[in-house]
Amino acid sequence: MRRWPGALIIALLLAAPWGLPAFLLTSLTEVLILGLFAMSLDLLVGYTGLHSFGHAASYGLGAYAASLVMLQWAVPLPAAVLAGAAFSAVVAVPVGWLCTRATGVSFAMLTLAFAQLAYALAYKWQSLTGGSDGLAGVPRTAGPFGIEWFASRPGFYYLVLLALLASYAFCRAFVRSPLGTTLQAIRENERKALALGYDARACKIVAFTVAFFFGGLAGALYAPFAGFASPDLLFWLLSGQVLVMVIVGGAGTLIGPMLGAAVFLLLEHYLSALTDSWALLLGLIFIVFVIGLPEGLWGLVRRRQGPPALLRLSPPVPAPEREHGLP
Amino acid sequence: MGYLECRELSRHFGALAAVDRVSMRVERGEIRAVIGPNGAGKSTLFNLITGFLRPTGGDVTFEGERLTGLPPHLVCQRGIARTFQLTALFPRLTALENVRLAAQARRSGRWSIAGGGALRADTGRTAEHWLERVGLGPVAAVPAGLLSHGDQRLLEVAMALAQTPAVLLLDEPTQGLSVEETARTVGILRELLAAEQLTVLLVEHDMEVVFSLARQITVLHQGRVIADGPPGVVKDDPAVQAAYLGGLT
Amino acid sequence: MSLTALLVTQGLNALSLAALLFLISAGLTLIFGIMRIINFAHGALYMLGAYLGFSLTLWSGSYWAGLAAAPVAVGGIGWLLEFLALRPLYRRDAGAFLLVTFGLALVLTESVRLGWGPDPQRLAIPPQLAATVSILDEPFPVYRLFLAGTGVVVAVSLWQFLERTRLGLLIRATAQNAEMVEAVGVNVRWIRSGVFGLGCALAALGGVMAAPLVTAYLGMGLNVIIEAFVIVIIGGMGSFVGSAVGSLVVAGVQTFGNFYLPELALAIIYLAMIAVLVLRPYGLFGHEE
Repeated sequence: MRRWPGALIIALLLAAPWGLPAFLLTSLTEVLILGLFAMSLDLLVGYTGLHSFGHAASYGLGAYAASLVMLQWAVPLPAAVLAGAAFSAVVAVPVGWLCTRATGVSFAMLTLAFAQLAYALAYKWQSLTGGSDGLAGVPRTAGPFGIEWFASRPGFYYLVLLALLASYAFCRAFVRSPLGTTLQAIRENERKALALGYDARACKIVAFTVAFFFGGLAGALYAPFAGFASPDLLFWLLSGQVLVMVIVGGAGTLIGPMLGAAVFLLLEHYLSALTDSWALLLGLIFIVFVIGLPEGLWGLVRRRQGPPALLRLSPPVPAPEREHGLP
Repeated sequence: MGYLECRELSRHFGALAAVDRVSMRVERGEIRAVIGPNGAGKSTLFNLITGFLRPTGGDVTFEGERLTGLPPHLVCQRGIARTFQLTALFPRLTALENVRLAAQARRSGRWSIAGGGALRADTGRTAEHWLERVGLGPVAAVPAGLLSHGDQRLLEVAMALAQTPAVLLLDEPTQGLSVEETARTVGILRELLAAEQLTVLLVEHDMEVVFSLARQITVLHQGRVIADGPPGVVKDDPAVQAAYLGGLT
Repeated sequence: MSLTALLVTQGLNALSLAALLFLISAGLTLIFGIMRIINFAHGALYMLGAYLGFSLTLWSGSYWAGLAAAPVAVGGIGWLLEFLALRPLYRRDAGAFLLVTFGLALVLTESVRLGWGPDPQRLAIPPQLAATVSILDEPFPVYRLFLAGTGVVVAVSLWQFLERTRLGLLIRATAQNAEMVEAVGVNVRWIRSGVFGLGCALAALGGVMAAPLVTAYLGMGLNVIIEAFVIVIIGGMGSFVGSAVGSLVVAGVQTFGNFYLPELALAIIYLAMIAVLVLRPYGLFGHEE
């Protein structure tokens, strides 16, 4: 019985190109891309308890890498998208290694600092990235085997949908896997996880890398969707926006952030038409959610269905004993 | 050489020697209690053995191999499990998942990033077993953070046991419990320790608990060992009475 | 220009920049020390200080009035924000603080955009400080000397305040062990609000002083918060001395780097931070938590 809503939504998404006008299909494609991006961040924020304030780095890295391989070598679109995701994941390993040297709030500061470094690089490395103009005219290259179908609006939509569904399936397995459950243990109580014998730092680096892979995948899809890659894709504002999507949608779930992305784009569309201070409203909504509704919209939906969401029950703040020096 | 052994172990915080050249041996199968007044260095000693603190001097060995300087998770991988003085759990996960994570921690499949169904089922059975053994079977599906304090203390014990440890370090297992809860916990611990033939190092404030569980006692005072031996001997030691038992009355 | 003159003038430049950075990072680290939170809105409050300083100067006709009033106003705003947005969170984990202060940064930045518009606002250097002096036969702007001097005065007075006064003692004690301070009958809540307000006021002071140099613009909050983060990571979280040393390091690298290796100045700062992370993950003057 409980599988019905999910199956229905997938059926509707599959049928969307026949029912929706072109501009709405484009909007829906963007929702799916941002939903994937938000879901990838939630692997860190919601599941591992790592507050990354620089997740735009994954998005931008994926977008630039995919754009470059298509522009320079005309790599087929699906392969270029995967290359973008892979590049982002490869960069994530050393960056994650460094960011997890510090714990807690320092981690958050470092993620922002490194994302801004990537932004500065994209801005200054004119010959490779096109500087402030970015890379324009990113194509949807044909192939493999000369398949040009992805270049069309519905074709590209299906490619994005496929990527999203596959990513969701993987992430679902990931958060239930031995390592995925360990990440939740680390979120709840890192000291205890260490005392049980888990190498918390190595687990966090894996989480960071996986999150960057899917964030990179989203970015690699965005560049051919929009036709460009610019430094804005690495900017802190985007890191903030995707964090808003995660928190408003519901951290600690996979569906919540996707819902958050949809709500975000809807609000942006309608509120920015009504008022030029929509970003202010967005910030206020965000604060209200963090303080008053930490389980997010999806948590609210689920609260009606089952037992109360436990996000309000925060882990006990460790006593200020000076004795938890981690190596 | 002892099974678990501390040799001249020290930890200084600035000028303060929290643990001062402590030597102690725990033999295989022994149940040893570490007692001492507040601030005697008991918890610091635990943190030194389990790698949560680096000693400023001395060594910890287990089965003849040095543990000194290893990070906590590697100490644990050698088979040394611990509980915490302040209850440490995964509050938003169910009691069963808490114990299951403990059972999973030393299995090689713990690194899988997908699948792991067989490991989950297997560790789930182990977890159910230990929950039953400490009497928490009925609350297996309750998030740990919502359990009563007494149940939380027992859950920590179940987690430590699910790690199949060679040595179990219990840091004040009856801390903050009512008289009835203490009696229940001690009963469960006695039964478990007798059945499992575990090597146990126990920090405890409650003397009744200590005398009903431990066969050997090490007394710490101001970071130093002032007495060591079976309960009867330690009880009558004049230095202990002066420093500790006398101080209580 | 002789090498000595170059080194001296560039050194003074670095010192004036370090003074600005110190005002930001000291507030950040003071708040961290006592509340164990990182205030992501700190850069936005610095920017707000610059814009308020601009408007107050325009309104009163005196830079000095703006310099005095803007930090007081922003300190009050910070105090209010702590009361409204942070107090509900003291029982929650550190993540909630990060998120809320980040949200505050968004709200403050947008408020400034709505209030002052997207264009930068130029604040003139006050006439008393608009001159240049000759240092080793080289002209040097007096305003930069004023910045460096103010930085030193603020650093010394803050340090003396924390070390010598009863209130400073209470603040340090709260950073060590809040429960103990509570137990001896001091209202820790007021200390927290007060320190948060003080930190915000310091940021605003930095903002007003920076405005004549760089103009008040919308991105200034973000630029400065990144630098402040780098500084506290290099200096050590919660360490007052660390934020002073970190400010000097970053300002020095920026000033001399921009002069000799303009392409690499940014990279050198990040490399310094990475080196500290690898060798001393708790910062030069931090300690294990």
